[in-house]
Amino acid sequence: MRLWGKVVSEGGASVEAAVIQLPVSGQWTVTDKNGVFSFSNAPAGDLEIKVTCLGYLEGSFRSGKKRGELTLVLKEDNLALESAVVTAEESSSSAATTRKIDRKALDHLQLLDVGDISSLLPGGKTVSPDLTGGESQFAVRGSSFGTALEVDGVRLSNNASATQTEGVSTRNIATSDVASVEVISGIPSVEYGDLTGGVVRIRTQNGKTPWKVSVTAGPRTKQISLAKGFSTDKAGVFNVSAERTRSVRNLASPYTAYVRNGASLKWSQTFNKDRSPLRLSAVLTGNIGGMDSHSDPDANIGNYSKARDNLFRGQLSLDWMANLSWLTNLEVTASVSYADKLQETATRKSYATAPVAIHGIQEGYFVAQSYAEYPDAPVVLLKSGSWYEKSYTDSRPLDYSLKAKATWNKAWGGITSLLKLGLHFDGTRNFGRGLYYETLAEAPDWRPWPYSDLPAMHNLALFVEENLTLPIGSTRLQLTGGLRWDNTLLERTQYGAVSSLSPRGNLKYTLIEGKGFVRHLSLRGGYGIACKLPSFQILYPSPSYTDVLSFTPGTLPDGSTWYAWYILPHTLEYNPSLRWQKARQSEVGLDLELPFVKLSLSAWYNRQEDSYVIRKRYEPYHFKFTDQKSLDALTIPAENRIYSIDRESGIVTVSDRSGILPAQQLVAKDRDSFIAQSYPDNSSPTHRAGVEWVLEFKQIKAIRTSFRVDGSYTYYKSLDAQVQPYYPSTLLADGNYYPYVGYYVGGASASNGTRSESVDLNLTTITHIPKVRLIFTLKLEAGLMRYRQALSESPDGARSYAVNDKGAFEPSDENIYDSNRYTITYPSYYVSVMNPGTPIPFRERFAWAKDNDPELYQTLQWMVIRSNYGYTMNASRISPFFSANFSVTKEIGKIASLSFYANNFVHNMGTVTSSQNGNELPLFGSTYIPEFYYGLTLRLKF
Amino acid sequence: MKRYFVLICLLLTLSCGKSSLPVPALYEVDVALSYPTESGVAPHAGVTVRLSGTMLSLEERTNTGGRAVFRVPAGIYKLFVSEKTDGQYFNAGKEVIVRSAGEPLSCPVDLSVSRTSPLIIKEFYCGGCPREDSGFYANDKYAILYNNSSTVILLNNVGLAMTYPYPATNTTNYDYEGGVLSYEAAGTAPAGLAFWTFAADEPLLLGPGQQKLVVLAYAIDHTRTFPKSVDLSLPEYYVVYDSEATKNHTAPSERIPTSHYLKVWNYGLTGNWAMDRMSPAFFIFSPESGAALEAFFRDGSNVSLYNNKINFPRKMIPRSWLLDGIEVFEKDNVKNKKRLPSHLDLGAVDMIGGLGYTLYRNVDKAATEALAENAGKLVYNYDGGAEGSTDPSGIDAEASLAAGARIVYQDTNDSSQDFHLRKKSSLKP
Repeated sequence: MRLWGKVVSEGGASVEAAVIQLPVSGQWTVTDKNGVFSFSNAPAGDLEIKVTCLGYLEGSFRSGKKRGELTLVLKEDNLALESAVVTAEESSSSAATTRKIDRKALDHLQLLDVGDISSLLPGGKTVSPDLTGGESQFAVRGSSFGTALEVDGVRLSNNASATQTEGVSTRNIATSDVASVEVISGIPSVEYGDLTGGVVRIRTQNGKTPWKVSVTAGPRTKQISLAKGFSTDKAGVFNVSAERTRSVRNLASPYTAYVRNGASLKWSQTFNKDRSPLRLSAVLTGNIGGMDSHSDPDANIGNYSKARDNLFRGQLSLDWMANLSWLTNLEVTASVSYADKLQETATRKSYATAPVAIHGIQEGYFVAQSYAEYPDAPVVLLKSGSWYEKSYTDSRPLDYSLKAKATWNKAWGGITSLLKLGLHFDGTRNFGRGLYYETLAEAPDWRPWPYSDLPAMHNLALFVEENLTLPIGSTRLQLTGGLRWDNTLLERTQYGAVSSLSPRGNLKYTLIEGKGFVRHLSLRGGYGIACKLPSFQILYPSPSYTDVLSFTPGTLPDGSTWYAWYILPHTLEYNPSLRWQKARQSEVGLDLELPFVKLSLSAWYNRQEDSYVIRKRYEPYHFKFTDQKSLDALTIPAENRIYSIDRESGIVTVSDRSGILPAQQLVAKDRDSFIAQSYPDNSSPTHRAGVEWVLEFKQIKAIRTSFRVDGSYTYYKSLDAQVQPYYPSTLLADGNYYPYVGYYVGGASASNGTRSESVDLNLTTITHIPKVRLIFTLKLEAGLMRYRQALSESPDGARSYAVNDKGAFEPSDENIYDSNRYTITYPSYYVSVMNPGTPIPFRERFAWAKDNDPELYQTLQWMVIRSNYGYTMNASRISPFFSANFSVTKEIGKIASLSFYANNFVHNMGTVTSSQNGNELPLFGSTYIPEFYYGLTLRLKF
Repeated sequence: MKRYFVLICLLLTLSCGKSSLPVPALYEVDVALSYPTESGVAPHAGVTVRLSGTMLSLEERTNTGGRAVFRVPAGIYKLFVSEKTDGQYFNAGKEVIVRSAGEPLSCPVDLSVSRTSPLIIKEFYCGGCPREDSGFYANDKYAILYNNSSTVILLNNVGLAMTYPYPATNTTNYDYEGGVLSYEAAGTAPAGLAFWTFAADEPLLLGPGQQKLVVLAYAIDHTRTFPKSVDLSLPEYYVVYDSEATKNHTAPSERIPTSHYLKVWNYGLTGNWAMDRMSPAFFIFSPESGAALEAFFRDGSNVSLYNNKINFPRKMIPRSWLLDGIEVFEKDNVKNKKRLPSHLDLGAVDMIGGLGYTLYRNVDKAATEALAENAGKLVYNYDGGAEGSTDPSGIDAEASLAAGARIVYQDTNDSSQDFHLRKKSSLKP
């Protein structure tokens, strides 16, 4: 049946390019220039209609059983609305915990860095904006590396980084262009992959808009932005926006700064609006900026560091409402993203003698050669003196992807079904040159390792998901179940193809929905498995070399010393048993609405397995060492000596430059030691759990104020149960290297794990006066619990022991967690350089050596790890702390709006006490509460 | 009119009366010296006792009973006594807390015997020099050891050491127990990470008035890149260097023979022997014999760990072996804490690093002028001191040595009295 009508604003003007959706059938269309829309074959009956348009509040209407021309009135989204919301809203339609933050809330918050929206989530703490603090990452119920970040449906990725395994940085995302942010903390749909935490979906402004200009100023941050959405007759809708943000590190010296110059150009056009709309859209986004300390006159002359944060992204999407019996909707998106993260550093260096730089990549003994004569020698001697060492780290990741999703809507009886089938292909690679220096004549040890040599990583994913909504009597059950299959393809490596299956499901049972005392009651729960692809840092460990000094003659008057070095390259350590990082996520939730309050409660548990980590392995090696004393017997005068070393045997030969005296060989000493090799591995599981609650009280009309109480409890536990080696690189009295490597459960430190818990509570009062178009929020943030306990546990018994005396090497019977006990940690076993294959249990041997072999006892003492302080294993509980912020936004007429906020406006100078060592820590300058900060934004619309 | 004039004068005289300045309450400190019984010396008059606090420094001489009385405001003071009687040297240092209570504070002071040594540290250059662009350069440290006696000394087995390389200004010195160094009573000195000895197969002799320069960092010509530094590449210099124990140090100049490399006795070095630039504590010692030194080194039980950390081991050099030491403090830094026991160095000398200054020993005016061979060779009007510090004797030691004089330096085992801050290293013209 035909369903048609018109969309108008409250003032009567027609609304163009509004999106009309019929949730029951999945059909959608777009209004034309006159605000008219039409569905040629909508289902019969009383249908729910959803209308969205930029600048207007989302409208929800019912069609009624009879068909006629509908007039749908949309309210302008501003503070004149009774129901203006400037906090995060729970999304009631989805079964997984989802929250949405719209533009009004972002304006009220005066967002400068997308990561700052975490303060609007339950229990979230405000952070004063600062873009100079390094890459900022966002984490939702997991690590930042495991959290997925999407902009307009395109996933941002940091997998092509060869130097870090961290989440994507949000610094370079232009915040003035963000229309809304949706945070999925619960079990995400199988549409999303490459994650072990939650999903953050950012949507940018799209649609017809007036000219929008905004200016923001704070003590250290400034922003100016411009945007406009044009609608043309035949050529669709264009959106242009530009933004410049500058954040300085030190107000007193505003030179070291992070700058963001973003611009975007978007286009969308919908064809065939009446029958089967086809919407095409394209986006071109760019950012040019980065960190720079070059112009800082307060820094040492000539020393600087710069880092580019340039980014270009293009995407093309197709959204077709096919309305066929076998296909309701098809979405295809293709995107390409290219970033330039070049880092440049200049440091002043001075050398009194000629410095040595090692470039060799082959094994052997090599004597240093003058760089001026033999620039390609494996070991070169530069000139002494002073210069500026200029280093560059060139990383240029490229990410490309193709996504296709087909949906099939069906409704029969009261049951609706939405079946999704999709495909996602993406690739990532890095074109950067890696680390290099401006000139090797002024560079330290260096071997080339271009990132462009690293093979690309491709991932192909297929997913299928069914969403079923069943009415059961007066209740309603929503079921979601899906399966995702990921297959990672890596060319030219020993990894080959790695695949994984991620099943995920959610259910939501709505018990009560109506006008009674209990307006709404629903229970929900979900469980899922997700897996995360590794970064290049994990996949391709950088080649490493051990350089050992093998020969030292004296230094000549011109400052040069003809050292010889032994180079031992390590083969790239692929770990054939490397598994992909996985998470098992589960959640239960409750939503309750009473006449005066709305409660949203959720409890979750996330177990992250096989987290990526870089480990070390030690292997013994042997080398020759020749020192100045062996030159004493030489007859060749010092100024005529030419040194050469045999590449395999390491024996030094001295020849006479004048040719008169015969060449002489020097006597070398034999040395044995261990070298470390790094390889990627998976670590022990990490457990995260928590409870989140949001209580929204209805507005007290008399004072026009509503209250919101939200908070969270988070639990974290990690324990590293894997045995890892440690080598005390010290010399024994006889000149030999330390002969043992110890193996410790969880590594050589006093603790091998942490358990922490925290409780945060926020109270927000929202005073909204629509007549004056003013909204004022006061937020009291409380950190009620901060508990942290270092753990030292081993599956095979005790790992650490408490000692009676701070310097003792023998364990006592006390408990390591008792107050103020120093602890010692023994390795489980150790091996010797002569016999690396024979593990020797440490505790027994150490006790035996104490009575029978004092020299061995003294040597083994180097492997006993002692806690740094008596309070290291004490529980740390921070006493509660509080902070208050306020924000006010006022709309002035139709064209302007002004916002002002002050963080920590009481300038809390209190202290908290740490139970760990009884110290009092000042809140000022700490990470517990935000620094006192304020900001003002003026927005114009015309 | 006259009436008014008289009235005005009267008023003026009254107003110009003695104004009363506030005077702080003073408390009595009663110092009583006592000498060790084996020295055979009884308390006597004429000994100078110094009491110095942050803003006040007083000196008193003892009366016939060996007692001295001070009247000082409440506060924390340090008491120093240093004297020579019957050819024996005595000194003591003590912290005195004067409280604002009524009774006089009685302060008994036990003096201990302090040796003078024929081999002394004449010059200690540790602060480095300024660089041409900005900052400082401090890889040019050295010490000059000098024979201050009139007999020949044997340098074999003479050892050099420093307290583990922490500066005097660290917030916490873990060797303090109850406000006193844990080894103060025993009088031992901790040699951090390793100690070095002159290693020679034949007897290594040092005549009266002769000196040996030991490079404590890199023995190269630093002036090529850092003109304000010194040239330490001369073949007569010695150097603290072992090709493996200090393999991170630049190799010494090839003009220096390997016999001039000091022998390392290593129990904690891993490639560096780094003396602090701003405020190190350095000392020299001489064991009874080579065999005693070997036995001392082999004995694993005399290793103590600083703050129980396995990588900060020290060996406590026995009191009877200690010869001379220098305790350097960072000038105007309130956190300075002593590390050498009082009998080795009672006080500390203030240093400003990074400006090319050196610490140079003061001349013992009386003993030097008494030498007949010095007649006419001594150069006076010394103005080489820096930052207000100078040699109180007024004798320009280096100029006098150049003229052929034999200098006898002052050695009261109190570096705050024995050393001054000199503008330039003695190696520079």
